[in-house]
Amino acid sequence: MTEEMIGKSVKRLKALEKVTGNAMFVHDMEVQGMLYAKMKLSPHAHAKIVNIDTSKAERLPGVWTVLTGKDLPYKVGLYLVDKDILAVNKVRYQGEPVVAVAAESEEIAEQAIELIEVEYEKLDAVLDVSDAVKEDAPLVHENIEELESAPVFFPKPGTNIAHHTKIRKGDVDKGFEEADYIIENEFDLPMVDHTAMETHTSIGQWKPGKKVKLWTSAQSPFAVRNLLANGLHLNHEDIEVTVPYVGGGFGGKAGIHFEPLVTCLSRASQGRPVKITMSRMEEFNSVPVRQGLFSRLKTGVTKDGKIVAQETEFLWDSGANADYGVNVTRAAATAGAGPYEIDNVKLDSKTVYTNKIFGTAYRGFGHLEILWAVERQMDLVAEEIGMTPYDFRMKNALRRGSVTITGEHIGDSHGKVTECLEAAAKEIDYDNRSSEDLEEGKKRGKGIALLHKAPAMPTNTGTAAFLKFNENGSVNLTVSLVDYGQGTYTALAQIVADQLNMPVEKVNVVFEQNTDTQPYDWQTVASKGLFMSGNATIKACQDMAQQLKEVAAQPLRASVEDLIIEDEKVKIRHHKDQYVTFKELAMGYTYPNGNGIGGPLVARGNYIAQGLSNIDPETGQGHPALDWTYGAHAVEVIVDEETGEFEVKKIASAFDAGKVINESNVIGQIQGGVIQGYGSAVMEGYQFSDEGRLLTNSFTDYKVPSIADIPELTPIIIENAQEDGPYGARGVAEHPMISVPPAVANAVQDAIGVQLKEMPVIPEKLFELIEEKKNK
Amino acid sequence: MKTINLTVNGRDFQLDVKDNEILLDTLRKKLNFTGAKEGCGEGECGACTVIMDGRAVTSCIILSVEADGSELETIEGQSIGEEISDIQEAFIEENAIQCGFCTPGMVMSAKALLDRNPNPSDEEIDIALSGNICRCTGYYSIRDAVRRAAEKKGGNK
Amino acid sequence: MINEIEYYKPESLEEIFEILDENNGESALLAGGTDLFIEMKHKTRKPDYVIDVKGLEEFSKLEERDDGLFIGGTVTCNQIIESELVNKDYKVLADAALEVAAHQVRNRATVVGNLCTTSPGADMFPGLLVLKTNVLVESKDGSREIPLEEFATGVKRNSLKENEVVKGLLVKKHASDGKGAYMKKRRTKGPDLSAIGVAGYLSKKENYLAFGLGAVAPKPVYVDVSDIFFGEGSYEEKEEKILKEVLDNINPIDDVRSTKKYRIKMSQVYARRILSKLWKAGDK
Repeated sequence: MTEEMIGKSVKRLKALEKVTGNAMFVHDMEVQGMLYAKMKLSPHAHAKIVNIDTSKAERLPGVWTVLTGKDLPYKVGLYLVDKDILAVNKVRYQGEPVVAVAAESEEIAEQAIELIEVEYEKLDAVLDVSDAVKEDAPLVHENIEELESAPVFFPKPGTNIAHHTKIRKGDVDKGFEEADYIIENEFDLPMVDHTAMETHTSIGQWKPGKKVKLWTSAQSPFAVRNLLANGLHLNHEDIEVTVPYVGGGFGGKAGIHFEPLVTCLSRASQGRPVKITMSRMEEFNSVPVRQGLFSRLKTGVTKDGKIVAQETEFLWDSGANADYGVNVTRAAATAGAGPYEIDNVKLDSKTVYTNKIFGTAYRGFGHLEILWAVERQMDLVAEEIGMTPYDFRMKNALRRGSVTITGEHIGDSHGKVTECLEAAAKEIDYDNRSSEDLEEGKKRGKGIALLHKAPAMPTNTGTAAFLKFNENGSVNLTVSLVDYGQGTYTALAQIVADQLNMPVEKVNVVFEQNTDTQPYDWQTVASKGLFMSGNATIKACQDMAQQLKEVAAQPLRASVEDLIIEDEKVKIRHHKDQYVTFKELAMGYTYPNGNGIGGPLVARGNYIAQGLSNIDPETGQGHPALDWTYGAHAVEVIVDEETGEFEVKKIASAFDAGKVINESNVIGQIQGGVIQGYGSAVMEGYQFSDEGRLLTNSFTDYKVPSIADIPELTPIIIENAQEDGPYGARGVAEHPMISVPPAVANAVQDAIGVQLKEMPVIPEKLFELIEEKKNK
Repeated sequence: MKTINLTVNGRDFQLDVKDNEILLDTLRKKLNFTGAKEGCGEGECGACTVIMDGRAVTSCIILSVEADGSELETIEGQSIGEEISDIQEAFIEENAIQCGFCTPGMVMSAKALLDRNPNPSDEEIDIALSGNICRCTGYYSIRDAVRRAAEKKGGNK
Repeated sequence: MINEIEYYKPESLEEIFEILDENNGESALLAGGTDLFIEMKHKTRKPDYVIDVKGLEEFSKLEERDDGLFIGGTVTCNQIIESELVNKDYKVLADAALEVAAHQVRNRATVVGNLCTTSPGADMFPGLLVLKTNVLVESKDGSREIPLEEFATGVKRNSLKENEVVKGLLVKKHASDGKGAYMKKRRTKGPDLSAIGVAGYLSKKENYLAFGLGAVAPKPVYVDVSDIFFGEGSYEEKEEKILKEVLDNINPIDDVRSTKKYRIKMSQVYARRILSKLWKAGDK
């Protein structure tokens, strides 16, 4: 086996279809007989639905179906089943869908929506997590004890707390007694949007016999199937989910969204397919977001900079639903102290309901949010004790032999956060921060921040791969992992090419996902795609190699042990001039006299996470992490010390990826992730009116980075192998985004001494702090 | 309703459109040029960018009747059979494509730029493309692709 | 989606007035459409018929006329940016136009349209104010001119009467030493509305210094500080007085784009920076 495929920047699969505009997204699809759906949204953050008059809409020619919450007695959700398909009895956020219409054209559907009259009785809304956890707070969900949930989540009846993860390591009280300094701070960050360029869109068709066909822009076809089956009481085998090209997801399309709605609309429309497409405004307003987070950190540290105790409270603003939010809370808690060794930790991470659009999976899965607090706190503590942020982190970083806050032991296979820190800091010349070359009034600052994340997934997550030959000796690989731009499929093709010693051009990784024809994958999330599907693919290749040899052994009159795979042939190891080609074996081998043996070659492989365990509900101890990817960002900023205007000049971002399979695609993930993190850092954040109405509901006021915004970026890849990853690789998909915001804020603090604790980092806030500092 | 004439990628079309019909919808639904996408419907994301009489425009805020008599270029016209344009090749070579949704609009903005200015500075590239949002790539590879396309087309770099 | 409409594309002003006369219901004039169609999609405007003025040749002109620069009603922002004439003698307008939205939008958005939408933060307002501009209005009853300082009457409200059409703008021609600058506070280097926009114009030959400010009051603000600048005192003393004059004329608020405090601060900072830049440039 030659190694030349691994590490090579093979051209991205399907780039040609995308660059010619040929790639078809659900956005582009039309199915014969299709109807168009539109929704009427709640104008109020919290209100009783008193009456819905749909009569005028129903009479409008071209309208097939009008549905309200009363017609849909189902609850849907991933970890906590708390979502209504359409609001029932009351609305819980401004933007919640209340009525849905299916009509012959979008125009008619829109007109029908305008003819529907809904009467509300406003209720007190709770918009802030601190208010939501108070005893007398209005309840967003009154009967959370009646909701179904995965067995590791525990909603608290009579409160707005959907879940509470506890981590208890050592003895914090004792730790604080040992501390020479105790530093306490509060941090805050708002909700943020995924802003994938293709909005959520699905086509659903109800078929006779309670069967469903769906085409949907989604990250996880099997999750859609599973949640639909559970939610609507259908059989898995009766639901077919197809996912074509997907225009971005970033976690926002990981679960189930409007698929149940279009299914029900189709069922009520005599089985006509129904398509729904979110407008960009609906995408901001009515489609889930990344949670907001309020944190309180209390750190005890000795004179020589060792962290001896940390007490943390995370209040996650999950909005009106927590079906995904509870897991964000749990997963982020297991990483909640950052990549540091701390002997005594008390961490409480709570999912809190508020009357706002709800949170779901988002690239980083809570880790960008917690690390804002943790990495800012590191710099605030370092300043207090008179140590450099670099030295302070080096002193406390996890190393071989360290124990994490969930009781996991760091070993050789873990990657090295210290190497990432060193590399990133070196790249921006961290120690040199003079402002001499700058205009008067401008100051240079350099900041660093570390990150770590493991996939947040069930302990028994599994995936599978099918491999089959085509008549001409090429192969098809099918996995239900979705490649919506990460480039995973290209890496998988490289793996097959390497394992079977064949040209990568002859490996066809099937691009459209279909739950009927393809093997299971849990979800395309968590940066586990290459790891798990890569391992499953390797096993499928090994299975295929074995089958090739078993058939070839017969005409070659050799035993399987004497055979090798080389150059698309099965050869006798010690007589390489004797061989059978893949093409001759693909559909079964045929002897000269006509006898056929073998058969069409189909192989399979699967992979299930090995040895993971749930965390104890009282102590948080356990082994939930498949692998840990570490990283570090180093940022240089120039700040105007009068006005707070600032510019990020340079970012250096280092990640321990274990082993790079396709370098250009890893660089692509780093560049894209860092800029997405940059958006969170300096410009993104939901703003609501006092009544809970979303103000930032278009690109006019929800700003995302443009090509003109990007700072100079140096990606750095470090390779300390992950023993159980494919070729030593570990995931690096979400990680580039994490910790960019605190790196920027740390650099600003370094430049002008202001201590910002709220995201995003904007001149208005810096100016306030500058003025405060002046007035002291 | 009005009858309008459009030339799209060199081919003439005559069709009936409603007065309130949007050019992007006419292109996508009546003429099957689905490359241009609706990312926001308000001219803010650039996914619907096409070239109209030599200028890059966001077709989601133009009426089809306004486009009567004009010459349009869309992504579909950039390749003929297996031959793709220099810009498309550069995008592939520089790995400037991830999910692919913004790509048609991005390529058309790049084409409109290079047609007028075969040797753009980095600042000029930013000005031409800052109206095209990409959430996946971080734009570094896109900038490299436009520079490379300029080189391929003969601009001296 | 936008509502059903009747679309007209007249070729003369007379035709426009005929259409306005003959039709009942709400009308909308269409040039670039970059504001109109967004408002129609949000249902904040629901005209029954739309009159596309891009068919009027007169409206497409961008040319020198003896009393100044004529910018016709359908001249786009990119045409301003690309015009040699504008860049030579009215550069502050090209600088401001480059700040409007994104390239694709600038290929459609018109200068006149930017004024007629009359957002407090409209990017073209401050530069046109400091250069002194008249809005040329046509109606069935004849022509009139509105000085730009009197054009805006409130947030998104202007002094155009029903059935009046803006034919174009006449920007005053200044002495050869005149220099202008426009600064805009942005949340991103990409396309953005103005959170604060400040233009300044200085001509020593004319004894003229003025500032125009957007997004700091319900209407764009014009402050003529010639008397202060060309009066007695040191540069620092004059600068202080000018900044106070600017401060007294603005009335910003907190909103989704910025804060009152920051708008006050940055108006001062931009005015100071522009003043310094123009004064130094004038010395060359």
